[in-house]
Amino acid sequence: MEAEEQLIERAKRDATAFGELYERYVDRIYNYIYYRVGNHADAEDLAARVFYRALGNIARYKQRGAPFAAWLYRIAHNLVANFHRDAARRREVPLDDIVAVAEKRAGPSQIAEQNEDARVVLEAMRALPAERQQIVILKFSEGLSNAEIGKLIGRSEGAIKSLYHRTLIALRAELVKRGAE
Amino acid sequence: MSSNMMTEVLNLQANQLNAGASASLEAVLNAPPEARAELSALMKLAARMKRWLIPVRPSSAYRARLRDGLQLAAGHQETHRALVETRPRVPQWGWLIGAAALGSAAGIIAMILRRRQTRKDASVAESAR
Repeated sequence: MEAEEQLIERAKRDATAFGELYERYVDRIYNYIYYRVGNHADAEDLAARVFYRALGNIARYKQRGAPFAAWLYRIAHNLVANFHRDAARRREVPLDDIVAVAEKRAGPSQIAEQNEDARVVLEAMRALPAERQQIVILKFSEGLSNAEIGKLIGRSEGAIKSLYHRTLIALRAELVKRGAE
Repeated sequence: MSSNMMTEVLNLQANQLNAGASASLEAVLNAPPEARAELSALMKLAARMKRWLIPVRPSSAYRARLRDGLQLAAGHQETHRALVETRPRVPQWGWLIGAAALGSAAGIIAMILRRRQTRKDASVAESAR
């Protein structure tokens, strides 16, 4: 696989190289956005915007030691923030998206219970500050280590470690507030 | 149990969850009684998060559609760049207007100075007469 730095430089002039970067990151960016907004329709829309924006700005992108993914996550983070600011678009998580999360081997009543638990937990997570949501999504959904998360959001490994602890405390408080803990 | 210690235990548990192992209760049992309830609650919560934050991927149709759209946009971008780079250089109107204004001002000043000089010469000649 071509080194990322070379691929990025090539992507500034070559559409095929940008296509390769897209293939490398589309799943991760989509996953992150999905858990931030809670439904596929908006995740598709926002993920597309992330890559169109990246394409439009890649010529000005400068490598400063942070991974390319950090730049994409930052674009995604800003677009998700704008999305949430747009009150008109705020809505409940569609049921079909929750059903997709439930474990397939469970029976109907178990599925209902699991869906409810997933809904409660994920909604509580979305009430946390953006950075804390990012930490748990990257940790549990992407399976990244504290060091990898630190590189992506520009913090030290130790900072992520303690932020993770504080995030769990905040999440628990949010669940208690909602009567779900 | 200090807060730092609890942070370590929770991070260790997160690594175990990511590795597919179920969380060990050893840490909870070893914790002092006053910290046991909190540690246990946070560990259970972490396990719930891990359970529900399953990776979600876009559909292959969406991926392909977006890729095609990006290729098209990149193509337009390349064409635009090529056009801009090969376009003959047009004079920059701002500079031209500025230079013209400066030239006119210099001309007017020269004219005024010349007129003054002429008047002065005329008055000197008149007084000499």
